[in-house]
Amino acid sequence: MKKRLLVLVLVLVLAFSGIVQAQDTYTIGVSNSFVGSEWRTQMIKQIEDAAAEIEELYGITIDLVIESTDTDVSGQVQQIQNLLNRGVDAIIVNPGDQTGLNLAIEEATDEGVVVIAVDQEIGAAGAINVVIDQKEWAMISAEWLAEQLGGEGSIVLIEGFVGHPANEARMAGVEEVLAEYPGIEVIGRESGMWDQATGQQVMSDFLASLTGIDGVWTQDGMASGVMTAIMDAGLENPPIATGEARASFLQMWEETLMENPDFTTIGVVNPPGIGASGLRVAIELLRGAEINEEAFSGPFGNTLYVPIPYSVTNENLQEVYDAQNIGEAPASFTLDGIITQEGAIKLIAGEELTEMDVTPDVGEPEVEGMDMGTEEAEESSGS
Amino acid sequence: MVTLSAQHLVKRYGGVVALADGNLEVQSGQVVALIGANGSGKSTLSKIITGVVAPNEGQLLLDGQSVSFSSPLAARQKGITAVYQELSLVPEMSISENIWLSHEPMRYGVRLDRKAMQKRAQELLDLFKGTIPASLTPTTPVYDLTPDERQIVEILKAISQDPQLVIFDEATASLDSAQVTRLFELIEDWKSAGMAIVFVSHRMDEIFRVADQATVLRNGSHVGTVDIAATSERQLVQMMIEGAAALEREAREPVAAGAPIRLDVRDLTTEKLRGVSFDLRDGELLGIGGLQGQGQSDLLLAIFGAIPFQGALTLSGRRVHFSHPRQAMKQDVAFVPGDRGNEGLLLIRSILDNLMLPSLREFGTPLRMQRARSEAGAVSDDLSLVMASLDAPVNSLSGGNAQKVVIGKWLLRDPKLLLLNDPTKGVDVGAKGEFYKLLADLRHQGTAILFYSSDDEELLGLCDRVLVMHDGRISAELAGENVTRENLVAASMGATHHDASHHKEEPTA
Amino acid sequence: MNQANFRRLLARNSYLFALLLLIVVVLINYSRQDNLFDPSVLNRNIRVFLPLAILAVGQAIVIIGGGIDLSVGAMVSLCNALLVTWITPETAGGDILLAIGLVALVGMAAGLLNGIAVAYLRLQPIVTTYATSFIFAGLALTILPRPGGQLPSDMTGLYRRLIEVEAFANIPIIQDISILREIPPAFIVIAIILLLWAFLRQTRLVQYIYASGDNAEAAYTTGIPVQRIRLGTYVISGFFAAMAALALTMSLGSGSPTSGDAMTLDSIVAVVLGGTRLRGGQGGIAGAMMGVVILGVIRNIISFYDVPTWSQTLVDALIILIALAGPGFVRYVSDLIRRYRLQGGRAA
Repeated sequence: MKKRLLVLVLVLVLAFSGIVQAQDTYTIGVSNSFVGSEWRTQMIKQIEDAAAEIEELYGITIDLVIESTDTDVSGQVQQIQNLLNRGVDAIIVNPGDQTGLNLAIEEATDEGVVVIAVDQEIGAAGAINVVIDQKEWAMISAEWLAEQLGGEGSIVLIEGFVGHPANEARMAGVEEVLAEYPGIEVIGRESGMWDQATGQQVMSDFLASLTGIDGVWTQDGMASGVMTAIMDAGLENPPIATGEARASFLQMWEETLMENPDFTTIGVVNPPGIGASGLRVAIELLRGAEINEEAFSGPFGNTLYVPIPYSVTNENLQEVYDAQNIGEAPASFTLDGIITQEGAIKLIAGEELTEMDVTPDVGEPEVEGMDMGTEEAEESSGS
Repeated sequence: MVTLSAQHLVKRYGGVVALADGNLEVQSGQVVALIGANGSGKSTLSKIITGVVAPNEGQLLLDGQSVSFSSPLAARQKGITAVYQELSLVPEMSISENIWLSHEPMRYGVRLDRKAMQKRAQELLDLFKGTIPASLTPTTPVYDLTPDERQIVEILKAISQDPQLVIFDEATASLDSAQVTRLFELIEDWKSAGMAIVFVSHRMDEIFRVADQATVLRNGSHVGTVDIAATSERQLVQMMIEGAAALEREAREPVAAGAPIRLDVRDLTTEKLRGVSFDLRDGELLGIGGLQGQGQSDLLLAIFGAIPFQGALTLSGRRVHFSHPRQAMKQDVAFVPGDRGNEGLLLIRSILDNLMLPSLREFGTPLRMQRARSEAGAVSDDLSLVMASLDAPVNSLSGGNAQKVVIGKWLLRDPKLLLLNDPTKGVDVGAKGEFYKLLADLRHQGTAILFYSSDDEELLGLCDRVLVMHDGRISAELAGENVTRENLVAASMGATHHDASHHKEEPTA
Repeated sequence: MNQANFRRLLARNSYLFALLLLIVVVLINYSRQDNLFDPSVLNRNIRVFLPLAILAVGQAIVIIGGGIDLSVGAMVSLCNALLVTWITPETAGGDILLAIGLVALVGMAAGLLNGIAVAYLRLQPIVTTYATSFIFAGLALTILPRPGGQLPSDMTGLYRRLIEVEAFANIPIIQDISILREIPPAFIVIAIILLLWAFLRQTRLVQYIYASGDNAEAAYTTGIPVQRIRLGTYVISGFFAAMAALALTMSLGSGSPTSGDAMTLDSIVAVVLGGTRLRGGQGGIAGAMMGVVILGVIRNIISFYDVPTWSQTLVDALIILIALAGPGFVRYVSDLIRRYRLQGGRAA
């Protein structure tokens, strides 16, 4: 009698756990502490799209819990704690502070929650950074500028917030490139506060106070301001300036080319889809993928660098313009790049990613027959 | 024993001389009345004695020793304090907290002894027992108090410091006659206990009742000090106002019997009013009298639509029920408040701005400033407003002139029904005279005027009829021969009601 | 309700509306988050609220005294920067206490600067403290140009770990109430502040602060040293800003030169939510602390009610607005009812 009862209970437990396993539901929290930027909006949108795609791909359910309000460090700590209190399996966080969230994040990783920091590298124990290499990102456009100038000339630098980690990394990259071009002299360097209007103001001041500016290196939204300032000045030989990969800038670029075929600039994609890439990595880890310690690099030894998607120059402008339908795109749309699910698997395994592993948008799953064993998934949900 | 002597005090504010030659002498057991028209320097002299402001010249002798007070606290440490006109109370605090503020009884040197504070505050309140509601306790917050109750707390606050010298600055302006009588009894007691008292007042009858001497100021200078026993009202008024154009009351012509009824009030009821009915004709000056706080203000405010009420109002033959002053204003009703600081004026705005305020609509959008300026100029001429220019801020005017602005801003609208809520309170004799003339003119032009005053003389001298209110009802309507002081006082005390006489004191004055 | 009674009730117990609101928002939160009262969850929540709660106490005292302090957030940033500069994981216990003492002095010195400008130079409090906030923020950036620093784990642990009360473990009833056995450290800080205030409320100093804020002229003519009192409120606020910075630093474990900047306006909103009017002379600190918790719980509600991403900021703002408008709205309605009763016939 007792034995039969025990068997019955066992069967029930097994059946029940079987149902749970078959459901395969993951609750993923997203923490974002700044809503005043289109870039962040696109980041969250891509996460939502990617989640839908992954659900279809693996036949699983993903519950997204998105915390996105303008708030300070304490507020973001509260966001993370609320996510913990809701029992999430993983947290995708875009940290608003480089160190202030560490204790809260460590509390999460201690509880076995997968924490992926995107866009900004942090050193919290147990967290994994999924970011592009900001230094490399800056080096691409700096290299381009140096080559355009033939290694000779005077340039000015307009940077973002001095002291902000991303800005510091980028400027380090710029300096590294310039060290190889002794013929290029930096005759002005100022902060444009990552703001279009400020960038325009700073550039106008430079043009008024300095003569013989051959080139301008700048980043992000400030590029639009810099370009406006240069156009307004109406110089005979306007300096060559780096650009950005936002639709509004590309539209301006296209128009300028029609009037002046000699115009040239470069837009290196800084993908908002990094959040979606982080989600893909998180899902793989939740489904039991083992991370290859060798894959890690970065300042804290916990970063997985996602390749920089691509750059836009005069050569491929038309191609990108048509492919992404930039003419119709909202001004704030930023060219993007998201790793595929297979790319995420490679990233975790420490393998090289190819161009095929980064798509410009979350689309239909391109990789057919992804045969990740379902057994593996069941194992992971048990843990 | 204490003797205070102020000698040749001078106080200048920028280029303005507020006090040119201030002299005053008072000693223990003496009440000296300090009188003068508004702007004569009474307040400045009081403030110097109590350490609120420092004089530019002259000296203050306390028992023959020269003293100078850097703050009210310094004066208080020498036993000198003042009863201000509703100036020094902290509204959110209770009666006892206010009385003991800055000299709280302490326990163990650090904690307030609230029990002792309340017990002694109750003892002080008992001094005025019978003239204030029994519901008043030491823990009642001051913002719940009526002006007369606040004034009494001011008095008790000064007395609680056991001072040697107290300045009463217009301390009776808000009090009703029973309260004034009680105060004067108390002053007698304090006087015989050795207190020196300076009594600043506009009310001539009070000065004759309470003071031993009167010191008169005019235009900032000491005119003279006289023994009350050896002087007369007329003589004091002569000293106060140059040329002494004493008030000649205008002979009243009866209201034309056929004049149309402008306002008819039936069974008006509010929280304070218990069914009030009367009517008012064009060109009639109808007075409302009685002790303070009997519902007079409520009556005016209800007619003006500022507080909710029940009852029937008929204005110019039409039933009306205003629920907002704007509606009343549209029907040519104007209301002149008594508390000009809080209700009537934007103090730091210009005179022109204040005069225009109720009539902004008439001047269109954008405002036709030229027209506004000329109309405002005409009104200020009518009122003989003494001012630097229409653009000067209202707080640069003397009290009487400021009160004229309060009235003037309504005259721009050419009202048919004028509601006056104790408009001459705190206004000097000269300004009052001009104001009375203004009322007479308006009356001649056919304006219907409902005039509440706490000054019995005004009602008796000016009004065609007087409604005397008591306890939310009209206790008597006085007209013609019956408009006499005796009738007014008797009705004020509710004498016509056998049931409603909680004031035990005999009528005075 | 009778208007005078209502007003008196609110004035005597200015925090009453805040308390009511607090209960309501906590219940709304609880209905979706049933682990809200677990000691560890409660601890996580309250330790995040504590820095702002401490800051709001200082702000409340300034506002009661008739001023306002727009520099408190920058003071927190400055003190936070100083704390992580002076304290490293290797710092010994005595030196830690010394650093905390010095930071308290820095906060009070910052408050002194505000106080002198407002009370003695008679500058407008809003403009003055807004201006000094840039001085403090600039100093913070100079001291700590980029985020960093680390506190000893003992210190952060002290702030984060529940305090287990062994003595209650065997007492019937109490042993079943988990929150009494395991007490969040922040509760103890709040309790100490409230007890201190309850005592101070009975002293002349606080009596004078209320009087000066309510009617400065009256207070002056009554012989109260209004200038010194006003100066004092700013110094007190500076001290509380330093203590808020200590709590924040222990909560985050590290420093950032802009860590407190966003707290200034929150502290004012919390004070007003707590029933203290900006014109001074009324209110209290218990309400201000409730205001802080209300603000925090509103964020929880937004989280647990799955408010759509794009409307979270809007919903947050709307709830705060409704909460701020609450007392005025109730007064307005009670006035309307009174009008209606008086005009609607003679029944009753």
